[in-house]
Amino acid sequence: MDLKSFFNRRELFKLIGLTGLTSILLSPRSSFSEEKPAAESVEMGFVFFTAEEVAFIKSYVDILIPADEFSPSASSCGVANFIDRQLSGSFGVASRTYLQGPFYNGSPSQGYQKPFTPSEIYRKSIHQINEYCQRKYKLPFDMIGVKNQQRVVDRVHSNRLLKNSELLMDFSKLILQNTKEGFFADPVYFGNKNKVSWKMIGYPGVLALYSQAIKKFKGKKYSAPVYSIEDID
Amino acid sequence: MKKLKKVDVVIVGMGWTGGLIAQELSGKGLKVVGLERGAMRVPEKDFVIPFVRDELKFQQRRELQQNLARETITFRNKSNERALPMRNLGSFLPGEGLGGAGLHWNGMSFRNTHADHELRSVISNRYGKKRIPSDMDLRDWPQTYSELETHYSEFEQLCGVSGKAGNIKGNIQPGGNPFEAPRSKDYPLPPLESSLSNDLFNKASRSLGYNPYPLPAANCSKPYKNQYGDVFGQCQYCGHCELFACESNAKASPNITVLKRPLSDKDFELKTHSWVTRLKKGKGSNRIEGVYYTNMQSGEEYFQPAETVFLCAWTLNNVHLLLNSGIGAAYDPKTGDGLVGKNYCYQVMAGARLFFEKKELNTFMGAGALGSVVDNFNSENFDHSQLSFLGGGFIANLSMGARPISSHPVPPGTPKYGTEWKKAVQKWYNRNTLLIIHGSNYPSRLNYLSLDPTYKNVFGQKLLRMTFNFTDNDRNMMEFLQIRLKKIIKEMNPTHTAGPKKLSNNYNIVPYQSTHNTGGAIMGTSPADSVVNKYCQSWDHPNLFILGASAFPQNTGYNPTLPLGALSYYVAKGVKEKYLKKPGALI
Repeated sequence: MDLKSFFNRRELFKLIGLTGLTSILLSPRSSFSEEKPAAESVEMGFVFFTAEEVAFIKSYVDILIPADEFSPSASSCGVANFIDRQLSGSFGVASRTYLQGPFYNGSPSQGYQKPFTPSEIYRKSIHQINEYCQRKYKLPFDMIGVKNQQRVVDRVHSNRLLKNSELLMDFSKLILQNTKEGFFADPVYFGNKNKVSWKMIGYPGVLALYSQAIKKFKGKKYSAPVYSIEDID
Repeated sequence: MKKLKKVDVVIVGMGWTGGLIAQELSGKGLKVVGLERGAMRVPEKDFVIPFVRDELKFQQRRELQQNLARETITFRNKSNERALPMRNLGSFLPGEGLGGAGLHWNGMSFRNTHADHELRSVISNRYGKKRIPSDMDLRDWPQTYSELETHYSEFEQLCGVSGKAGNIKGNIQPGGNPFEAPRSKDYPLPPLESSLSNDLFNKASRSLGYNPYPLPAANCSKPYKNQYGDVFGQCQYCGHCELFACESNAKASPNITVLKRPLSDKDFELKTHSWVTRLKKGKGSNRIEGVYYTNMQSGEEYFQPAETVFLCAWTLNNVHLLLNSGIGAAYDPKTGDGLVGKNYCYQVMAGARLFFEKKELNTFMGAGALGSVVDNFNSENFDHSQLSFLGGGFIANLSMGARPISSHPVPPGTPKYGTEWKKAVQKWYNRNTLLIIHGSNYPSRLNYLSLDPTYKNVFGQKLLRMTFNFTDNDRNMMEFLQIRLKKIIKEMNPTHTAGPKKLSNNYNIVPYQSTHNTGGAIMGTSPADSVVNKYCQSWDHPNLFILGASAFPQNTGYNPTLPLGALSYYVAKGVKEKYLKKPGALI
């Protein structure tokens, strides 16, 4: 039986709870494979960031999520590509944000009150951090070496790089959020290549039919093939 | 502007309340138009595996929520501050599109307690009339619990609520909630399978003498067919519930239940992308003549005349439409005059994250309303005579499903990035659980809704302005509840704990708390102190009904959907049995 046809929703719905579909799908004999055949690795292009910004963002996210015994680095998982595509799309221009003025500084409980979009925050912040590195190290951020990069990133995230920079404070929150989004999101968004973060933490992916497993695996480690959107689509 | 042919009924908003009214009025030969400002949402086409599990789209980017670029609210903590726009969603997440928030809720389905429906009377009788502070406008609902009981059952049956009864016709049931008001029937389905963390919570709270029970869930524990023949699948514990639609048809939504009747009725017309901007008052009469709306796909404006108008938008949008249409006098906190916008209430929340080094909790398995609840300190379930507050809340352990972007908590003191952070994420992802306090919020004279003088929506209309802060009552209540929460935590004996945090001095609109916003167009027994009567009928305009949590006089310690459903059935009954026979003021 072609299991892909199960994902016609009506069929799925008819079967759930009636024939124990979950056990069929979770059996190792499932005909769709967990891993797609590895495509020829083609370097993915950037559409928002300039070459200078690409170099910056790759080295910055690799400080946030470095290569170690837990996973490859963020950039090699595609997180820089993820951020690039997010910034070039509706997220980057804050398409669902209320951006009408007038703009005033509010109290902390009133939330973000600036007119900048995420793509503007990134562009301006990268520029300022690179300027800082040029002043201090005579090199852009991506060239100053991991130790200095670590220092700069720590100072950005404790808001000590430039005196009380509200921009960099916003940037630090944004890039941390987006880096983690890219790392943990479905690989269909270009970060989390090979479901590496999901395997790291033991998240079994998007199939997620546990009506029997919830009882069967109570208190026990659950292991099953990890499916992403593309594995099933 | 194009004027359309007059219809019998126009319904504004197609979520739970609008859908339920549409169902109750269908098949009667009435011409009914349902207006929904968001998109069409057809579960079997729009929400299928694997795409329905897209956390980035549905959780992080809020695909099913209102688009604030078109309209938001403004917010301030106090009247002497300048209100500023809520530029991004945070504290609450109103839905948009067919089914409204009913499409992507968690399904937590509590009935109010007996006392919640007669709050002022119960408190006055127990502690004396002077106990209620003069600036806390507590009310009895205009309906008693007994009047609503059959409708609570009706809505539970409609949704296939899975739970363990605590009190059937006065007989206390072991394992259920002993504080529950008597119910005429058991839940339609047995409780969901508990998670290990639920079991740990149950054991700890029992040992403290509390009475844990399974959280009533509109997530079907088994395949189910309701009283209308709507078919539900079994909950898959997929962990993608809140903010997501359900691909298994296991979570009750208007789309798979109440909306089916009107959508197959030739006299009903659904218009999506139809944004109602205001209601038109009759000249020289107390009638509402109809509603103005704009088709958001063509930009064209229409006037839809109707014999009867049902305002069934979300709480804040109901109030906004009333104020922008000049219906009723706006509340003024200085003088206490005016009623529209009064008694705006919210929910007072706290949470704690527990980490267990040696437990595999399978956190990714879960359901929106999978949890275990202790109600010993909710409502009037405990004696307040020696306490410095009124109200209370439930304490619960929730297993809603740990989606990887939004749920990878780490113990306090862990760095925010780098290898140490990754190590902690890996270690704790499957070894943590969430405990919450879900507290009531009673009215304050200073908390209200009004129109903003500065900021406008996409149509150039004034935005709704929220003035809201926590009160001493809220802080004292939360302090009391956190002591009980901490006892449970201690008994559960986790390796690490994060939280609970003390209730902040100022309510903050940024972090998510709940979408349980209530009040602003409250119901009551007299036009002198309420906007609508017990049938949610406007006192001023008898052909206008305003349904929703906007009618709640105060907010209880529970989620609002079940009381809202019961109230909608009650209103529908009054409309069918009385109003349709003799249109006019029902009281």
